[in-house]
Amino acid sequence: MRHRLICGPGYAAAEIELSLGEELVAEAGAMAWMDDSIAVRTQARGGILKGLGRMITGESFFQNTYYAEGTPGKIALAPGVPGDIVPYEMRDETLIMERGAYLGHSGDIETSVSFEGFTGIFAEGLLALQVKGTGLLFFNSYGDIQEVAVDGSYTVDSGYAVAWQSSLDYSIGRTGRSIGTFLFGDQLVSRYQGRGKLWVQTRSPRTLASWVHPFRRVKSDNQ
Amino acid sequence: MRFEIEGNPDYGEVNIELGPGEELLAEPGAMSRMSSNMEAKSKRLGSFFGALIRKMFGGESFFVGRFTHPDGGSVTIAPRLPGTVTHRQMNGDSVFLTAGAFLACTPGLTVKAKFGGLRALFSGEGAFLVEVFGTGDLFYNAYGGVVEQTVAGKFTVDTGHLVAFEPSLQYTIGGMGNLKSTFLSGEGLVIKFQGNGKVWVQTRTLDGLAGWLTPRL
Amino acid sequence: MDVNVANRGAFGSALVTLQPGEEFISEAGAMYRASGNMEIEIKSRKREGGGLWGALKEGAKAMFAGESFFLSTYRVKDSQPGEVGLAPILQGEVSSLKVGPETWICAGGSFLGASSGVELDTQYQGLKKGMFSGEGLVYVRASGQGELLVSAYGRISEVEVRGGITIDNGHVVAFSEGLEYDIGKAGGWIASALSGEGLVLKFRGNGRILVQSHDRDRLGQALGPLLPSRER
Repeated sequence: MRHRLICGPGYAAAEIELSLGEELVAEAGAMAWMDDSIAVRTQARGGILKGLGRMITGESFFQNTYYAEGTPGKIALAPGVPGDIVPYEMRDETLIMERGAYLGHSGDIETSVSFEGFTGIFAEGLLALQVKGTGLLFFNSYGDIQEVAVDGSYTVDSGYAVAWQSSLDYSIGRTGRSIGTFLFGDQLVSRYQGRGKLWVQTRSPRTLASWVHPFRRVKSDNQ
Repeated sequence: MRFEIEGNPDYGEVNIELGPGEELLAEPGAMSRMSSNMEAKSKRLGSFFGALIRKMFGGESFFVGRFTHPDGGSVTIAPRLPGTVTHRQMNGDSVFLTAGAFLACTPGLTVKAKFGGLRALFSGEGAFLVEVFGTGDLFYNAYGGVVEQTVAGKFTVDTGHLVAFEPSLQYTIGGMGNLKSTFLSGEGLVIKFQGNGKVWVQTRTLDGLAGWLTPRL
Repeated sequence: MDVNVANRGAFGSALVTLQPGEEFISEAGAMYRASGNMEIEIKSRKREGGGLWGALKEGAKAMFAGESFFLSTYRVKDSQPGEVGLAPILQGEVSSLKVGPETWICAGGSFLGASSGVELDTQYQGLKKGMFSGEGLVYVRASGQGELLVSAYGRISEVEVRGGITIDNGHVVAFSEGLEYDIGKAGGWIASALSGEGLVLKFRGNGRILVQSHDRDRLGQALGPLLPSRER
């Protein structure tokens, strides 16, 4: 499957060429533009929702499968947030990533939110996704993406971890002192031990969510 | 008028040098800095945009910033969302823009609202089109990177990702296909082009950012 | 101490290397990576008025509304050098400014960090109060000796004052103390129809000014209404 990244690393999009018989699975809403010969199938994410106990507001529960009909064609995928895209060749391996980092894939890859070692959440407001198998995976970052080859231990503020190989041991800790009920500065950090690849992004969805707070409309009493 | 676009492709902004009495019209809030002698006055766009725009904005008049000075001066304008800024020299021709892409122009250009149809109303800003025609300088912006596509046949664009296109193309706005795909695919509305001409698309959308952020609030 | 600023594409960040005994301060929450031997202490500087701290969300909201300033201090726990990576909230570049030759007045939203020799006045009231008080006018005064890290929404440029320059308040990153300035509305604007508060800073005299290409408030005003409404 031919693909290329454009407009990176700040506003990366992935342009993928689909030949007849090739299929691309993508996050709902990720399609930015495509040739007319590309058709789509929408289906519920049964596999992903398995085990998920609650609805997450605003999440789409559907995945789209794109394929070429008649003639080959191209399709561009774009994430919602400014940043980069990593096209990663998976070779019978498992990655764990922040839910919002998943963009699309092709090949024999399975994604699920419920798996051993995780209740689904790895930091406040951040859900973990397990991606397993062989094929081509596209994931994106908020900000630049840096690949860290962990050999020993490494600490990252939880909001900045994008994806990591499951060979790494993972634990959550807190830094700083809590002053009474004041928790803001008490950062949630992710600690990685062992050997494996860790992708780190230079911006955090959590801080963006906090920042935008005053700009949101306030619920009126009769809503 | 002299201009220089700086900061492309990530953070385009335009530095403009206006001669004595020359005017620049820019979308509200676009001014980031200017020589202290410049006058920045608002100009009611009653005749500038069609009546349709006043309706869209709930009956309020639509304002545009007007920059000028008898001695000339400099002004720097930047779009609301960061990305690539493009200049287009207009020579009596016309081009279609999505409303959010309009940044600034010289007074010889007219900006007219163009409806994409009723369904366009529901998809938000991305499908709201304006036609720019006349002679002068047009500046428009993209959220993210801008990519030029040469269409010879058919081409589909998610409405949020559309920036501009040439009037030689025909277009329809609609869903992704069947009803289920339209409402559940998360794609919203798409614009389908047919014919020969250029389309400019952007790699980010405000709706996409809102959608990505919502589960994380 | 070594401060390494990297601006890659649309996103800037800084990597600070500290030797034992050295300290660096940053806006709390700016740390995105750190070596295992880094110690982090959180302090806050309240703006005028008393009041108790709230819980996590309260504190975060308060900070971004310009009421409080939460700072983290970094030092190494052992006898090895350590590193801490700092990044701002939004996309944009990062710059390092030398404090000493200049005293800098930095927009609150642009403050990223500073070395320990820099004195930070987060209650800077030098800007005119009264009519124009409000979150848009949170500025931090950085004096003393050392390095100041600033971040921008967009790219950072340095502009010349020449005969006088008028800068929209949302585009000011930092300026050197000593410049004359006035705060006002851009002449003739009808503020309610236009972005933000419509405040501009008119500079005259000698000094340095750093500006950013884009205005955070415009992003917030565009994005906020598209998000679910909030309780408070």
